[in-house]
Amino acid sequence: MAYLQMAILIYFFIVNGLYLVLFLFSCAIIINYRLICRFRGPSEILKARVTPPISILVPAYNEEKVIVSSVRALLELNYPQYEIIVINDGSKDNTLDVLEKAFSLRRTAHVYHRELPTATVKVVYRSKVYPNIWVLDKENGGKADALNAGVNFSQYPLYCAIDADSVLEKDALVRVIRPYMDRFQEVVAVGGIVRVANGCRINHGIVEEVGLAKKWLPNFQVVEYLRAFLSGRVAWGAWNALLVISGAFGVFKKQPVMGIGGYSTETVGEDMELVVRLHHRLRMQKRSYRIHFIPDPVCWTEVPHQWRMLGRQRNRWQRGLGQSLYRNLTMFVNPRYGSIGMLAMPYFFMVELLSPAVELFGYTLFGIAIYLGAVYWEAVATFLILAVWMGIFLSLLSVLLEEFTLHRYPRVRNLLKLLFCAVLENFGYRQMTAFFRLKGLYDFARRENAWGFIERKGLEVTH
Amino acid sequence: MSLANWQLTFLSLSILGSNILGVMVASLVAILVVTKVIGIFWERYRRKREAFLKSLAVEFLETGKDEVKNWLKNLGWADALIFKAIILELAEEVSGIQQSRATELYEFSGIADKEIRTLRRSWFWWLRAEAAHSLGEMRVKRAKNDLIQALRDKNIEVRLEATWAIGHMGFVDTLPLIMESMSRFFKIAALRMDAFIFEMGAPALPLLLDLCKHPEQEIQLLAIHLVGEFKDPGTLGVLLSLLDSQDLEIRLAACKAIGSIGEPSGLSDMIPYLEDSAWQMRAQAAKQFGRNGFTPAIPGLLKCLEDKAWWVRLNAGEALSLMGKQGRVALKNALKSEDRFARDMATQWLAELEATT
Repeated sequence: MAYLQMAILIYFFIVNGLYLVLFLFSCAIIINYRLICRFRGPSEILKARVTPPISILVPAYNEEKVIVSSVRALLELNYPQYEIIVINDGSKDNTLDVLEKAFSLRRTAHVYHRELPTATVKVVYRSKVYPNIWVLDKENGGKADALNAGVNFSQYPLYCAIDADSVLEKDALVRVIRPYMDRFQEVVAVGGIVRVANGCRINHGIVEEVGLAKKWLPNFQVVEYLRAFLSGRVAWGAWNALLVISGAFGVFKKQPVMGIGGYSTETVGEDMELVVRLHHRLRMQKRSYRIHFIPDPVCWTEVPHQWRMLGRQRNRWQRGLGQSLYRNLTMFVNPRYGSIGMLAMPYFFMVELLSPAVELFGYTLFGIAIYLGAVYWEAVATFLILAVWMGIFLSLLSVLLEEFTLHRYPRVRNLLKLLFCAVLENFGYRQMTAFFRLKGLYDFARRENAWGFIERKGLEVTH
Repeated sequence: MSLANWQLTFLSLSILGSNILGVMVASLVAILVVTKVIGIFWERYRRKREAFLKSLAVEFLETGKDEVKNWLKNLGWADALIFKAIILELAEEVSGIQQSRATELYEFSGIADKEIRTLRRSWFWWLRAEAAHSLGEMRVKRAKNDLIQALRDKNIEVRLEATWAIGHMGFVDTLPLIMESMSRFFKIAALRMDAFIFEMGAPALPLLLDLCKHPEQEIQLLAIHLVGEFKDPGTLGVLLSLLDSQDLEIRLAACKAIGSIGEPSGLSDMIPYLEDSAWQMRAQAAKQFGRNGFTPAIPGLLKCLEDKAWWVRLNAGEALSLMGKQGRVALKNALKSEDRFARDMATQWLAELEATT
């Protein structure tokens, strides 16, 4: 029992030590990035006549509530040249009809390369009013299949994959294109910070006022997203060891993605799987490449507002993580794959994949130990207090980093609420998400592959 | 270690850790509160002083009275910071004599000296970059050598700001140096160099044409791009000669530049390249003809519709769709082609024309 306790304690210190190291690196990177933005802001990049054109891919399955406002918001983007490709993935609702009506779609005889195998694309539509809007009506094949169809159809060298319910910042593309402007040949993918839209005032697909939701559950996720994006991904991106670019927003170079056969239709975490596979292939080929992460908020997305839906989402994420790591197991602790093999893969395996199991095992073990009298309850209580302090400390650091650098929550009331959430999330929320993730891990072991439906409220004018 | 000892160690470590973290959490909250309060006070002070200092600066720019300048002697660090922002903002809005007076104020208040020192010595790249930008904005010509030195700075942002500053002041002779320092960062360089070149104007063109033949490919590419942006038909001779370069990248860049200029004589000379051995060249030439609506290229583009490379067919179809009535007729003729690819592409572009008109 003592050895188990010691193992848990060591695990706790290693994991939290890693979090702190990641945070410190991220802090330096974000500050540096903000300073660069003072000299090379979006307006200057917009002036350039050398910005590469981008195809925006919007896979849509039963998105009749949000799809029109999403596409309208995309039309408002500040970027010289882009096309919007909505892929209606065999929706059973009126997604296609609402698009047809809102954008005056008409059938076209567009010919394109079907390099990646996908379910049949039945009809290609183009807007009469906005010539840069295309709609592919295809048979259902899942999100990955829809994205592959979009990649096949896209005309430009770069594509941006977003979720139908994502709301992009007006300057999202200008900001995310910066790494490509710096090193076009090397950069193969760029991700950015995804923010929680619940509670923001959104009108016609544009975030008019940033705010927090009335319910606590989405607000806990705000803190969680801040922690994940501001401290985790920023540092991994700087070490060229980023394993995830969120499916809600990411810009990829088309050729390398085509080269690895596009998105895998056999996983539920196609976003992570694609990035891991890109690393795998490019490192195998010994190519000089970069997968970047920009510490700039680029995209807003609706997060689950009910425990049940949060459970499904986290379950799916955990399964996706497990599948991506499992399918690329040859990279694990393999020096040939550099920082990916030696740092990122072990970290994601030990910390992201196994932590819910260790956490819940720890709670159970200490419970049993107290019951059997094998441990002082004072020691357990103090350790739990330490764990909670650590959680609060890391969350507070992220909230403060956001406040000092990005400053997207200007109201003092919102800031106080975030600070309060950073404390409160340690009592219940974290344990529940650990439980959902543990269930995901179990389902991954059982090779469960269901997507898990998440009900959307729709983002228009949410408070 | 016995169980009791182990648990005591565990307990003491946890207590120590909790205390340390508790203090750190409290410190974080304190930092937040203090910075917020300082921010509020600074904002109040800034507003108050800004109103006063701005009125002085505006008065000097309008009248040039020396007594106004005396108020600006020996500014404290806070006022110097506020005044620098004011004078930079004003300098962007004025020209002629007022511009010279703005520079005079900038020099008189001692900010120019401080900025030159910062550019030379500061450890922090953002301060050096800011100094380079300010010196350029205020056209402090005596800073030329320091700005040239800054072109070799290890930080790209400093180099970019120094480039812009030199361009803003119109030092044409520095062009080759700048191209050498910037060429590795082609796209950013191109976006900054556009502004730089247009600040310099026509005197920069002969130097750029020389750089089109530079031994380094990256410099050549950048120079060709910039020559194209000038849109001067007088540069066509050099650009056309580059269409036969050994280097495909150079040929493509020259093709694009000729398309940017859009002069019919240059475009006519480019028609044979629709049959080039490199598909990238055929595709690029087709694109440039479409961009300029250059109808004499229609027969060549019709052939390209049957090309074995998809990109060439696509660009040729698009080019024809951009050529008005004649292009539409050509696409309709292509519907009768024996080649299935040509028919498909013609169908697609005709449908798109129909959809968008």
